[in-house]
This record gives sequence, C-alpha cells and structure tokens, in this order.
Amino acid sequence: MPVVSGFSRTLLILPDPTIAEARRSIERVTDEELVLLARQGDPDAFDQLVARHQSAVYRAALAALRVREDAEEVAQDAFIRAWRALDRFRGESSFRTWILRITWNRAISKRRGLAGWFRRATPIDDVAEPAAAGDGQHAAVQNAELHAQIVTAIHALSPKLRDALLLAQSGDYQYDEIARMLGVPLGTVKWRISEARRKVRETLATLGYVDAK
Amino acid sequence: MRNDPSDLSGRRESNGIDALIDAAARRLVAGEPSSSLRTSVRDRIERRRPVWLPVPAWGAAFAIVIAALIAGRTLLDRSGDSESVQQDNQRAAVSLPAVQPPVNPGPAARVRPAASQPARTGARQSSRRLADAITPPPAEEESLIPPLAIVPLTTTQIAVDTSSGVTPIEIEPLQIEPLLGQ
Repeated sequence: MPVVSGFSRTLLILPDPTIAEARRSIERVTDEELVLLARQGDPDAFDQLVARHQSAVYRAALAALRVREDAEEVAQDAFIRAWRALDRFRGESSFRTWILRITWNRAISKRRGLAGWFRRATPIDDVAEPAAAGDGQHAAVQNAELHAQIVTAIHALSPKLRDALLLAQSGDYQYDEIARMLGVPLGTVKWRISEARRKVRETLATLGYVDAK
Repeated sequence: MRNDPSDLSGRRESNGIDALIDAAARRLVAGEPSSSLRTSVRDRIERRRPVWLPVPAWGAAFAIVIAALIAGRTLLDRSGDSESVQQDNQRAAVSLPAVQPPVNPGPAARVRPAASQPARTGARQSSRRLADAITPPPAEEESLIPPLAIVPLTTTQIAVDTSSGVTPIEIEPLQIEPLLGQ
C-alpha cells in the first residue's frame, strides 16, 4: 500500500498508487490548495508547506539574526504561528509572502532582545576560508583578509542597510518580496542595497584595500 | 559619448569589489535549515492538535454552564423578590379594607367621594386627589384603624323539586377567616 498523506487522499486521485506517483502529485498541488486543506486541520498539507518554504524562511531569519540556532528557532516559531493563524490568512498575498512576513517580524522582535544582541556581538558563524597552500598562498591570504574586512564592514552597517543587502544576496527573494517583508517601497529597497555596497566600499577604501576613487 | 579609460577601470574595480561584497553577504546567509526543523514543526502541530481542539470545546461548555448558573441564580433572586412583592401586596390587601371600611368608615379613611366634587375641577385635580387617596397613612394613624370584622356568609336552602329524581346539593356554609400578614 502506498503511503499517501491526508491531503493526497482528499484531493488527488492517483491512477497508479505508488509512492513516486504520490510524490509527483503532491508537487502539483498549489500552495493555495495546501492552505485550504491545512485550514481544515490536515497536518500533512501544512507539512508540505513547511517543506516548500523552510529554506526561504530560515534564510530570512538568518539575515536578521546572523546566528544559525536563533534563525532555526525563529523559523520554527514562525511556522507554528502560521499554523495557528491559518484562519486569519485571507489569501490577499501568497502564503510564501505571508510566512516570510511573520518570520521577519519574529526575527526583528528577537533581535531587539538583549540576549540576542549579546550573542550577535560575537558572531561565530562566519569563518574565512582557509588559505590554499602553494604558489598562490600569498594571494589567498590577502583574499581571506579582504573577505574578513568585508564581513566586518557588513556587520558594521546600519540594520536597515544590512537587512536589505543580506536578503537580496540570499538568492531566495525578489526585490518586491523584500519590500513586502520589510514593509517599505521597492525603490527604498534598491536604494538601501546600493547604499550598503557604497558604505562597505568606503570602509575598504579607508583601510586601503581599494582605491578611494 | 566618450569613455574615460581611468573611469572605466575604476568602474571595473568597483564592480569587482561589489562582486566581492555580494559574495561575502551571500556566504553570511548561506546554508539550509537542519532536518529537525520540519520534524519539530510537525511534532509541535501534532502534539498541539489533540489538546488545542478540545480546549475551546471544553472552555465553551464550561462557560455555558457558568452562564446558566448565573442566569438561574439571577432568576431565583428575581422570583424571590416577586414573591416578597406578592406578600407585600397581600399585606396591603389585608390592610386596605381597614383604610377604607365599606361599612364603618374609620377616622383614617381619606378617600373622598368623587361625586361630591364638582366636575369642573378637571382631570388633573382628580388624579392628584386619587394620588392623595392612595397615599399610605402615617405610622401613628395605623394604630387607630379598627380591625376588620367579617361577617360569615349565610346560605339559604333553595327549594328543589325532588320529583325529577335529582337530589339537591347540600352546600355547607363558608367559613371565612381574615388573612393575616406574615
């Protein structure tokens, strides 16, 4: 007997009842259909939504918190809150936008906490790649130093500029999604990303890594 | 439009630095959540569901019971009040004939016959007099009210033609006792 989850039983008619076919069928179900089934209390449907969006949710939390354990905790909390609030989800935006907004709000709340601030003051996640041995060792060390300076400069950015830059570089979000997440106009997001790069360049120029011109 | 070679090299360098900045930023938010994220969410949902769903039902049932108890208590209180009002009315019904004895009007009788008043006094004066008439007597006057004497009703035997086979109904004389207040 194939293992078919609850929403598959209620929504899909499987001509060939195999697990592989069931998985393919699950992938064809839209987020809106999954939300409808999850609203009726189907945990399998919500589990599928978690599987689809956990990476984007986790990276959004990581962009705000920069500590992986905190990001995972916030991601989990965001999904639980979404599950409880499914009845209030009106479908005006996509589920992805909605869950990202919940995640971002939770992450910002956590960031404002004193304990979280202290942990981020000593980030342990970003470690420069080890320098390659051989002829290019000197260049590699220089690159590692430059990378470390860039990371330091990014950390030194104001939260608004840093959030926009990290979200944009996570590769998970379009600019309009970032705008909705942050609650600002699209043009503001673009300006913040550009301004973040300019500030980092300025810092590197002050340190003599790049030409000030 | 001519491009200045030095400007082009500066832009190239700037683009190169921007690429490094973007790469560094990308590494800061790189990575996937652990596999425990999905299972943790699932576990919390599954754990919460059996508890979460009945809680509103039990809560609603409990609230209904509490509301019913409060409503019942309130109704009982009101019925108690109405009973006491009825008792008061009964007391008033007992004392009212004493105020207005039909046979032997006492000194406390304050109702003036309406027929003795001229018709031109108008409805307003009549209602004012009526209000004055039902005003309870002062406490010192109550002691002057004589007790009401009720004469038992007497019945007379009606002559019935017994030839039709119908037996006459015997009616015992009624015993009327005055109502006493509690």
